[in-house]
Amino acid sequence: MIETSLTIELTLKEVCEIAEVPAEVLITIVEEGILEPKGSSPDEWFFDIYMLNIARRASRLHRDFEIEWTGIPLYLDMIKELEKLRSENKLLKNRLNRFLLD
Amino acid sequence: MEFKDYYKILGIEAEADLKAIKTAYRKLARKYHPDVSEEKDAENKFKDIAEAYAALKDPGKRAEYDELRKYGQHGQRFEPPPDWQPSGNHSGDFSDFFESIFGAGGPGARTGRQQHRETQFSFRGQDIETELPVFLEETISDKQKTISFQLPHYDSEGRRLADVKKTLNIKIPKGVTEGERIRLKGQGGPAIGNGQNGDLYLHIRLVPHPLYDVEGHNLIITVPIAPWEAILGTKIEVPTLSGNINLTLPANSQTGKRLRIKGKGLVSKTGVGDLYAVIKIVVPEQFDEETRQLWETLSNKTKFNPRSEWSKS
Repeated sequence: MIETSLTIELTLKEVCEIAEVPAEVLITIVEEGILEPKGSSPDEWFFDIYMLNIARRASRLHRDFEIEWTGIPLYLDMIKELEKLRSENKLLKNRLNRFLLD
Repeated sequence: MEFKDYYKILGIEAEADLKAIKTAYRKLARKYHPDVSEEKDAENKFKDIAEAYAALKDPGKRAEYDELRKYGQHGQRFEPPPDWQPSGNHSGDFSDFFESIFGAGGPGARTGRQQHRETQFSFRGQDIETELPVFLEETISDKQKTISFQLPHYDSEGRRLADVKKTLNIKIPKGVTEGERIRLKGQGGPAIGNGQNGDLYLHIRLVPHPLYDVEGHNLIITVPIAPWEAILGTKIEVPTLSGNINLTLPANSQTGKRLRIKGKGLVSKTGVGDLYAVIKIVVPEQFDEETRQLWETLSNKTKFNPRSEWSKS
């Protein structure tokens, strides 16, 4: 049987590969303070798996909507909020449906 | 390979100016961007849209594309003319159709898959991400599960072959939650040459349960009870993820009353959640005449106005 791991530390190279983000973009994302990996220089950086998603999303927003890096954190927060509200809304609708007849 | 009509994808005329192209792209991007869209198949639709925009916003590429468009029709099989010379660099991960016109992308813009094409040397296999539906029951203890997924396959020259199905017997660590990713090292795409295999990432999706709603680490179960059970109180056998338990329902329980069953929720890194039983009073659809009369007697004897709040003002 194959062991699975939940705590994942990823290097710069791994994040670039999995998130399909060019290295220079990932470095910009860190320089702009959007991500704060462990370690002091790009060779020593470690990212966790949540940062992987943020990196992918930040780079897509920058590329596809031409959003300036300074504005990206605001967009990321809003998307996170949107997702939270959507999932809360889904839960509440499910709850309500258990009480409504049609 | 299918011909892609980039004008059609963006919903614009072949004569559209750059401004119209940009406007169309932005509008569609807001609708289908995978980070914000709830549309079905948004990711693939957006890929087409981004590709169409990349081809049409650049006057040079657009001219090349317009030239080829004379030979192709949207959705139909297409091969570029034999003397066609792809024009070279671009950045982004686009379709084979795009690459057949404009060539493969420049260095730096490429990721896993494309790297294989450009070299015969050792390369690390592609990292694969796949969704893994997990039942709530499977999250409360370490569980074995057999999973199957498609792996991309390449020959020794780096040409892509048909996908290969791979089956693994894995352990799902207890306490996984919605949206979490778990990594299986070396189980992703096969290496090229002497490189390492890629990793497999499983993106956890909790399957909606017919009985329980998930609220963080807690579970909620809706418990239907008869009106007389609500009034007199009773003992109810409540199903939990780990077997039935007996619950004492106190007398005079209202619809919406929550009873906490400690430690019967989902397992998490910080502890175990609780199960909440929420009461819902249910009325039988039919009574026999004798029962109906008993209710009538009861009604006449009870001084209870459930709408007393309304008459206050």
